[in-house]
Amino acid sequence: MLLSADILPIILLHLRNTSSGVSGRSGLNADILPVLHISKAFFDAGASVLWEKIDGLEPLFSLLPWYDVLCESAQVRAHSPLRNARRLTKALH
Amino acid sequence: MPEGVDPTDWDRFNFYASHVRDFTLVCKEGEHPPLWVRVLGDLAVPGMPVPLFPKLRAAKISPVDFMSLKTFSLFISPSMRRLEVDLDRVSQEGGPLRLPPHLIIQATTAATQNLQLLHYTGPTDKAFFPHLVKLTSLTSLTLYLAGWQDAWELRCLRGLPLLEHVAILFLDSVGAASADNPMTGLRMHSHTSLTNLRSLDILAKQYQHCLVARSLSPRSLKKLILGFFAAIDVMPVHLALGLYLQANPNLEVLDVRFGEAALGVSPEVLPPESRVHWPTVHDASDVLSSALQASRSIREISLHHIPFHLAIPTSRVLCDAMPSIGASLVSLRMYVNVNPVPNFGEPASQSTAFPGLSFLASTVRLRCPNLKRLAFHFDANIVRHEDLGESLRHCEGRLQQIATSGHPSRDHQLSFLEVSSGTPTETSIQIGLSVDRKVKIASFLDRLFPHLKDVSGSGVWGPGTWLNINDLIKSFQDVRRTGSHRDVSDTTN
Repeated sequence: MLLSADILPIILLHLRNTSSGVSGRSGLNADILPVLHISKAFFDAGASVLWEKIDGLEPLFSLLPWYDVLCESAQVRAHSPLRNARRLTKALH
Repeated sequence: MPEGVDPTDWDRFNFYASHVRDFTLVCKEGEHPPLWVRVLGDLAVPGMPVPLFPKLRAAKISPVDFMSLKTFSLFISPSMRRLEVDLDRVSQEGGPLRLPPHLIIQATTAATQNLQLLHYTGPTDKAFFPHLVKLTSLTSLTLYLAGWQDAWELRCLRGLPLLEHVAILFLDSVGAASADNPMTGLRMHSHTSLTNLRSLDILAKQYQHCLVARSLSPRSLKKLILGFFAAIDVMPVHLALGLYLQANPNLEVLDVRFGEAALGVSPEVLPPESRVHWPTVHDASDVLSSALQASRSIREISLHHIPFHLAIPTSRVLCDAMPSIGASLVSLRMYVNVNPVPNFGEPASQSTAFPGLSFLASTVRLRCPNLKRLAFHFDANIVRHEDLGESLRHCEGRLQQIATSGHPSRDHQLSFLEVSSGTPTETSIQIGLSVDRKVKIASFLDRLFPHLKDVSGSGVWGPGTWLNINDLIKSFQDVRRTGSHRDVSDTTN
């Protein structure tokens, strides 16, 4: 007997592939987002599909409460990478 | 951040990061990752997970030049199977590298034991290959190498026992053979490693190919793709092909591509003092000829854009080998570049090195029963004047002899035929054929190959010449079909 945990990932992958095909864009997750609100089972399966593939660090790091500080501190350029690291570390403490 | 960082800030991050399987960090040409990304590994942020994605399967990072080693290490997970990294931009600008090539490999070997695919673009250093060989789980390796390399260092790759596919592109010369490693032996190195290597794809200059062949010395290849940058000499081309074929008698696919010498890549020239370490052109061609004749499993041979002066001796080798390898051959394509090679001088008039259409009767019809696609260079003068009737009679007589000896041959299945002709001195000439000659050629081809789907021509042939011949063949096929239908309806009535 198949459980929700077995079936839902298949349904959601199909949903993502279908919406990618329609829009002509790969990895389009817009159609997945509303599904996450249905239930915990949908949330768990949807999160796996949604986060399976990511481009860049911003999507994940923007979850951190001090992400803006991290970005703003990095706006000021310095010559030494080590100095950059120290300055950013200081900003985060 | 005045309040400071709480390690629990990472809880949500860790929850979602554990779902990430495929990570890409790619910047366009001229763009850099944000500063905080470049120095992320050096930030002493309490609670930051290392690696960032514990269940990562694949990562593509380009470029890594601007990252610290600690930052790069954040992306390497023990679960990783595929890694693609690009370190070529800084080195091309001539500036100092922030991240030495071997440290990228060292960080990878330290973090993961199960990497199967590595695609690396960039320069190498002395410790690069010794570290690379520690990735013993690799099955597929692609290297786009910039900067000077000693091809002999590639022998380290023999220590990767699971390799099935290797692709290497050399962007610079590796230097000619030395007295320590002469090429005059005309043999691959004998070793028992790389037993799983089935596919090899090398793009290099002409002499580099020989050094790479000798360094890797693969023995179980099924598919070989060689790309020659600016090939001008017969010897290294025939030697490289000969070495590979000699050591890989079960090769099934041979695909050789030639780049234009004029595309900004300077040809590799052998210094006079190095010549003693290399074989003569005759020896190299003999190696190729005998190795090709022994390649009884070969199904596809493709030579793309081969310079005319290289095509002459190569065509001879191919034609000589076809009776031996014809039984397995399904596709043979040789596309000749008839443009003159810059600074190579006037090529000798050797157009007779290429066959006429009689070759199709004497060799293809009789000795290559499974050939379905043929693109070959033919001598236009022979095509215009040869006695096709005599060739056809001889061929059909031979087929009859074979049939009476108890081995009736079925119709030949050749479907696609491309006839190219011309020499560097004929680039502005167009040769036409009389209607009578076209009918004779069409009839000849139709008798030999009753299932032809398309016949085309290129080079010196006047516009429409082979289109007309193709149309004639179609009409012969229609007549034959109509006739056979009429025969059937006659018998049913």
